[in-house]
Amino acid sequence: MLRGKIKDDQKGIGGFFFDTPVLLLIIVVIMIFTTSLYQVYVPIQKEKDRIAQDRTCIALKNNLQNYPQILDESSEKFSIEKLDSLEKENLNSYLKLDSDYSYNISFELLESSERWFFGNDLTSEENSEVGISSYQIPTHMVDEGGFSHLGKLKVSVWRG
Amino acid sequence: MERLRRTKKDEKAVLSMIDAILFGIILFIVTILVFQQFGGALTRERDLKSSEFRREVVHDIQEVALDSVIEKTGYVNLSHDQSRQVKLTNITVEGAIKDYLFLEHKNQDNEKLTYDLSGLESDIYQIYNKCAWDVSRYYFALGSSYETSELFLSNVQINNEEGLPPERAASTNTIMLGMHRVDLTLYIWR
Repeated sequence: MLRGKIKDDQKGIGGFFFDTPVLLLIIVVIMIFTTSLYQVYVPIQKEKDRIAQDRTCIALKNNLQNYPQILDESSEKFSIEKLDSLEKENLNSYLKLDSDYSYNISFELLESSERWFFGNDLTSEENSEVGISSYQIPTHMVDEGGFSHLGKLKVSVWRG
Repeated sequence: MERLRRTKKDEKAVLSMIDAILFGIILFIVTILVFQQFGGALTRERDLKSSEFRREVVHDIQEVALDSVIEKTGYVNLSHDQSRQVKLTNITVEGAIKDYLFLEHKNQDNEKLTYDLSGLESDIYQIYNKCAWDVSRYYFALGSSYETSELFLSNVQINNEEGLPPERAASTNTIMLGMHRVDLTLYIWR
């Protein structure tokens, strides 16, 4: 019985190698397939992260526009006087930004280029490694005399 | 007998290769489908991101621009063969737009009245250009109409809303002009 079986097996030990071209072809095809999937998955994941970051940036800007510590009581515009005396710690505790993110905020008067800056400095390394969501809009800034000036508000958010 | 065995073995090898090639073709088709599907998703994500940002920005620009104050502006009343300069000081852009639409309507409605409103129009444009282009780097167009008058301003060569690009974002504010509600729409794009 056993003898008969051995006789029927025509391939022997070396028989496995008859399938080698087929195996190689399948391995190459699977490798191409997985590489393609990876090539598609990575940019989509990056884009999703970027969208989450952009939303954080918009939320930060909206919070800032409602922060009473920097708004003029009567006009509800940004007060230059209050910006002068704003503490960074107070701003951080009010904004409550997710710990995955860092931010910086700058106000600038268009006429005089006078500038107020809050948050973290962005190093050149971070700048190159992670994308930055940056939101730049015009804004009104009220001086001590109640006069409104046109300014620029820039909010930047990045991972790190 | 030996020849028959060889032929059978060869046939099996060929069949295996055909199976492998078929497997490869199926995976190739699946890859194309995945690329199409995910590529579309990526485009949608990108569109969503830019449209969300633009929607927010256009609203902020419109609010700030309408609330801005023009310190000195005016128009020329050329009615009844005279030339009278009318000066306006410290008026909001919203007020300037109302004046423009009202006077332009009178201009077209009454043959005896003639106004040169180019100064007023230019000052409204300057504020919008400062807010949309100088600060935020967006192209813009502003459109509004009241009775027979129309206001359309843009920092690109477009004469009406039909020429606007499809990827624009818009914000419409309703202002009151007398008893009439007037829609004022700002479009921005990059």
